[in-house]
Amino acid sequence: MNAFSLTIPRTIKQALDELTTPKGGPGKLKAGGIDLLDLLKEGIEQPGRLINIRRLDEAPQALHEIGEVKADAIPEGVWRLLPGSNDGSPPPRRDCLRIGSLATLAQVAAHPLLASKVPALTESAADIATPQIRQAATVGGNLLQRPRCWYFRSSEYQCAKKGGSVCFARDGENDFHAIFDNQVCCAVHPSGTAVALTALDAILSISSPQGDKFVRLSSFLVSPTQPGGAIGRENRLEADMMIHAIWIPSPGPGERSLYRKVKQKQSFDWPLADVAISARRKPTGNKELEAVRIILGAVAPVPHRARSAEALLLQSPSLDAERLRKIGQAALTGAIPLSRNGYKLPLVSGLVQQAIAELLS
Amino acid sequence: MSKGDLNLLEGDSQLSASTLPPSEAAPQAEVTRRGFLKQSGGAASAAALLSLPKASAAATVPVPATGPAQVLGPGAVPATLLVNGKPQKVMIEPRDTLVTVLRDRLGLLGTKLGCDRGGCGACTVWVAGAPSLACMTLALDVAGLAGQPPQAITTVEGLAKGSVLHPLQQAFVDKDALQCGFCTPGMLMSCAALHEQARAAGKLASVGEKEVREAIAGNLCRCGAYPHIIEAALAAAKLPTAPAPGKGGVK
Repeated sequence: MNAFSLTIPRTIKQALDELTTPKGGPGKLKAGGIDLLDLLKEGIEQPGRLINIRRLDEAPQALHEIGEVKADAIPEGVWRLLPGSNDGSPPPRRDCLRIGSLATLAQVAAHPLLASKVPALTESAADIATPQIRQAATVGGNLLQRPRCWYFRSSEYQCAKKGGSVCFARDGENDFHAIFDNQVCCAVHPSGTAVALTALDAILSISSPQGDKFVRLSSFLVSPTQPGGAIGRENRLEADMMIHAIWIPSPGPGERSLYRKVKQKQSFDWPLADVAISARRKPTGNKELEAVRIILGAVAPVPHRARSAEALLLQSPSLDAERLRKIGQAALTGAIPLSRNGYKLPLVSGLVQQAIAELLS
Repeated sequence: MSKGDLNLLEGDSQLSASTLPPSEAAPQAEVTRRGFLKQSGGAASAAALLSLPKASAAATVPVPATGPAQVLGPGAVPATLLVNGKPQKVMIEPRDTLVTVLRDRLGLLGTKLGCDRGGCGACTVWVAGAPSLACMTLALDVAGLAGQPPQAITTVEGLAKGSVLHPLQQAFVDKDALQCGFCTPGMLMSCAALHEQARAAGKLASVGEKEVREAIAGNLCRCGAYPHIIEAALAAAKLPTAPAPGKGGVK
């Protein structure tokens, strides 16, 4: 690890000021530090200064707390991004779950309110890494975790993501890489909570020197080929911003969600593939779905929405084996496996079928 | 451009130590393998011993909650660690991880450095009672600094109460729950935390294999002693309870 200074701001404003006034070189925010320490030890990141927000004094409850905020108290910026009405009028206000970005994965995984309202999120958090890591790692940091591609993580390879000209994984050891959108950089997004939170249509509030900003997680995370994307980054957070909180529209009656993950090593591992589904049934009571989101993880540079599978699922509430098989197949629409990750096709198809059957049967 | 993009660009300004038990750990007088090697091995290792700081009271100066951001380092700065109930003054560089300070500066060699990437659990210690990875924790993150008290660190050395082993340690002995022993301190800290948490919740009797497996999910044993480790963790729940093991309590 290179030597660096550690700045301990007392307030969010001080933290942002430290990021934007680079005395001694650009700074890097550190919260739980799990991913960052990995990158520092490998020499992938060599900042002159770390700005440590792990022990921020100011309003710690706002950054660490998990709770439900009533409809009339949610910020304007969140309201405007809530699921809209169909006739173009502003979306209806609704209660939201709010998670401070410094809440740890252990806190999220064990939170009874989240477990009852958004099980996809608690299930994803509980399945990340180990008990010790979940104790330190924050949910904000998990969303910002850099990809686990071994070429990216190795100081020996100056890969395209690090400013080089070659994606070594494209024709190399690409067993754990993307099957969608893999032509520029085929590293997959490593965050399990990002998969669940995308399925739950989460909104981020982001602190910046220009005030708070709001963005849907689904447009915050960008692959290199999407508008606003670049090969060197996985999201649209600028150097002078920090994630402040995560907002999830509180599910109403008839809404349910789940998260399922396939790992190579069962005690702890990154996913070979993971899926989160949120679904809302029509109030008619005949099991017909009104809305569904199927988000696949570990298959693309960002969580991948399986729209064809969603459309097929919405057509009919029947879930016989043949229909499930077709929906599983539809989840692979657009997939182009690399030389060593073709196994992900049947894996993802099976995982999607299993998850749908479990959620809706 | 999606609606989300517009919002990101537009912005929106709507938002706005625990009490310390006295140290019970008596200085070790017995000859240890490592001590023997050090004494017979010559002067090279004496430097490490000389640098051991003496235990002294934490001198944390309270400062107002407002004020400029503190900047520490990049050189070593004086800080206080609270280890096994004892405040220890030590010079720490911002890049020093807790495991290196515990081992190299404080001479607490029970905590092992395995993978140094948070993957093996050999360096597991308790931070404020919760199992944490000392290799993935900056020492200054848990140190007492101006205005902030140190967080209580418990290492495997702090598990026994004097000469009375923690029930988990006794059970590891009884059940032969180790082969090479390198994972043992980390295993003990994970299992003992489960034990303490269950005991605090009055649920010690209901600790089952599932709970044990979850607790040690982050601790690798290359020898494959898992069956005996799990057996020991289950057996410990049935041992007579030792008084107040550990320092700093369990979350």
